[in-house]
Amino acid sequence: MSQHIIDLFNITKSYGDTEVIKDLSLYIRQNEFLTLLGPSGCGKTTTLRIISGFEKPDSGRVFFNGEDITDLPPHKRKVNTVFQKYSLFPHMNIYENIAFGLKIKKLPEAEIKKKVKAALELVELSGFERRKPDSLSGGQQQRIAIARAIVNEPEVLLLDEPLGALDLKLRKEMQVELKALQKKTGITFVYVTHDQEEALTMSDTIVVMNQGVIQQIGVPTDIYNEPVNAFVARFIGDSNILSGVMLKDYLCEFAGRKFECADKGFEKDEDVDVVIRPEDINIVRPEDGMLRGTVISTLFKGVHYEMIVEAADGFKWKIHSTQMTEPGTEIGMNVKPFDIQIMKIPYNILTGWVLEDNMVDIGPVNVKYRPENANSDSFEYEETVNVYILPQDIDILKDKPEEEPDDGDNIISGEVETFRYKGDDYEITVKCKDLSLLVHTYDKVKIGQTVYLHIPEESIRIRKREEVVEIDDQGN
Amino acid sequence: MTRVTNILKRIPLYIWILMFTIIPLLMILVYAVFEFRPDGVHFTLVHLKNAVTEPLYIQSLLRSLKYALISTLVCLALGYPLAYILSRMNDKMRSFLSMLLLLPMWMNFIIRTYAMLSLIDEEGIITKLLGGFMLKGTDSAIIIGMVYNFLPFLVLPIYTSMMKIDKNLIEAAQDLGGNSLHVFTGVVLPLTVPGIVSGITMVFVPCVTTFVIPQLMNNNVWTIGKLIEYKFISNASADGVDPDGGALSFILMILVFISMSIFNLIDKDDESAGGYTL
Repeated sequence: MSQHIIDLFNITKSYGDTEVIKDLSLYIRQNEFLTLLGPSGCGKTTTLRIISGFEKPDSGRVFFNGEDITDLPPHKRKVNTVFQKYSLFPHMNIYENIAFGLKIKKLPEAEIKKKVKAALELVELSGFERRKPDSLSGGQQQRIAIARAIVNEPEVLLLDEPLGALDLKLRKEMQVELKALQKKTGITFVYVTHDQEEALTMSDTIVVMNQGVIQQIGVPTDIYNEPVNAFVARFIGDSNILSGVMLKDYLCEFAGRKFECADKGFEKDEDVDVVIRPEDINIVRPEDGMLRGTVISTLFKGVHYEMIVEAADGFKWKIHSTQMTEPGTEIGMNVKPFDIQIMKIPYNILTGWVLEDNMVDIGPVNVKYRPENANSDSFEYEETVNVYILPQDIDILKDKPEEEPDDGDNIISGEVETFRYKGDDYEITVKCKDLSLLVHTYDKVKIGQTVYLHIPEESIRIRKREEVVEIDDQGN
Repeated sequence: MTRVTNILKRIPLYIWILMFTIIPLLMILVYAVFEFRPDGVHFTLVHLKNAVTEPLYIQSLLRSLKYALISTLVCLALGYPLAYILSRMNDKMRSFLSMLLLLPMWMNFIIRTYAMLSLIDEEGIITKLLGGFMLKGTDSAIIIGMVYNFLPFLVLPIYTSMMKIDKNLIEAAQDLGGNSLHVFTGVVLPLTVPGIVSGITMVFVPCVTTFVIPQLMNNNVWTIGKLIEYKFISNASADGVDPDGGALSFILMILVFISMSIFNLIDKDDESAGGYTL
């Protein structure tokens, strides 16, 4: 295992009320190509700027080769940055741009000349010394920006979406070149991008971030094949995400049948999200398939066809295949056990006490549930159970109910405690007396606002506790 | 057809230029080379010759240039740091302070100068602070008046060119190991040259030609502006104006034109060198 060159410990950073980075810890190994990947506003650029010294973390420490550099200004750090918009000095020619850092170090003129020449050769722009930045194309400018950084022989090169402004073809070429450059120079690269394909192509390690929190760290194949949650699965590549139930280790039920899978360690009958990549589904004859469906659309995507297949239960599967299937065809679909990725769902798991008439006491309020959503039909009166409610099943009522909510109305009021944007919806926590509920909503709410939540009867799942350990006052 | 309509559209502009630029310029030239006497109009070059040979005129011109040069340098010394500080402030503070900077300019130029005068005359606060030493009537008074009146004209273009500097360039310089001095000399200063050039032009030219400031602050000396004003207005007789005034104006205009061209040349040079326009 290589030595850590950069360590970030418990970094937090806020702008005003917005927490951009939340308790982030990360290490970067010597000579690796590490990519910070995430949607805009996920904190990846801020993380990079904390490494370069342009941002100071509110708390936490930054270490460089084991040395605390948290308070060191940018110009004293042994890192260099390639900026998103190149940021070449417009009043200097290419030679002067590349020599800028070397002149500050007061190197002899002859050595500067030699180094600039070598840097230009490295980026294949020899002979451009006397040109002005604005006479160069975007791709050439970006190479000069890279040469200007690399000529200083930094131990770590930070790249902030350096290919963002280039067209697709040039971007692909530069990806290959950058990777080759990193191998050739042996410099540690920390690369920021929102382009998952770019990250998968170039990186040794990918750090997927969302809302200031690291979601997953891993090598590209692991990130792609084994996303740890629905966010990573959605962000990295196309995927089919279904709801399923983990019946036991290596056996999962979804889409109306049981599938062997490669995951274990879930509770019995735990509700889970199932991720299947479009290219992992094989099209077979209808009678040979684990699942059946009808092709409703086929799109040619260059290397493969993308087909949408509607199954009997109405779920629309996305399938990538090099074989073309006409819309309207009935097909069978097979998937291999290790291509089924099981992910935990962030349920609200509450403690409840079963009452009469399919009512359960969850603390602030008694709510009604459907008997078919309980895994037992015989509960003792006031038996302690686990109550599962999915955050997306809880509705926020638009208006305050006219009458005071009663038991069995399944309406509960509370105050919004936290509020986060989650890509296409919001995740909020609502404090209802001593109960805290996670709610997903498309509506915007304010922190501190009083909201009325409706928990639909059918969304409440009651799970008998296998062994309810009664804890007495002494804690035994 | 479009060519014709384009020309038609520009007619108001042409009329404007003709009325307020071409005709007045010609009038000055006419006054410089013609004498209007009861017995008729006579062409003569004697006034132009006077303008470039008469010792009083030459002294006045040189004095004006000296005042303008010193005032411009003082403005630059005060204005550049001011513009730099302004550009570094947060939005709220910046707009407040630039308003303070511009506030005196909402007042009439002469009233403003009188206000300054009242500070440095016999009873002025500054005179009292200086232990009775009266600035009014000294060269310094003229410089003070010019700096006070024209400083905003220098600050604004420099400030604008500073605001235009991409923050990433400053970060790039820091990233490459540059401390504050490197960032300033390597990036900020070269990129604000166009602002400096137009700021200097905006201050230097009015400083050379003004007659109100020298008249109020120190009426003991002749400046070229005062001289022209005197020849045209104060010395005007029933015969018409003193034609020396027209000749002086004409010479001064040529001088201003030459100095402007030199400044613009520097500006152009920098443009082609850095690709950075104001």
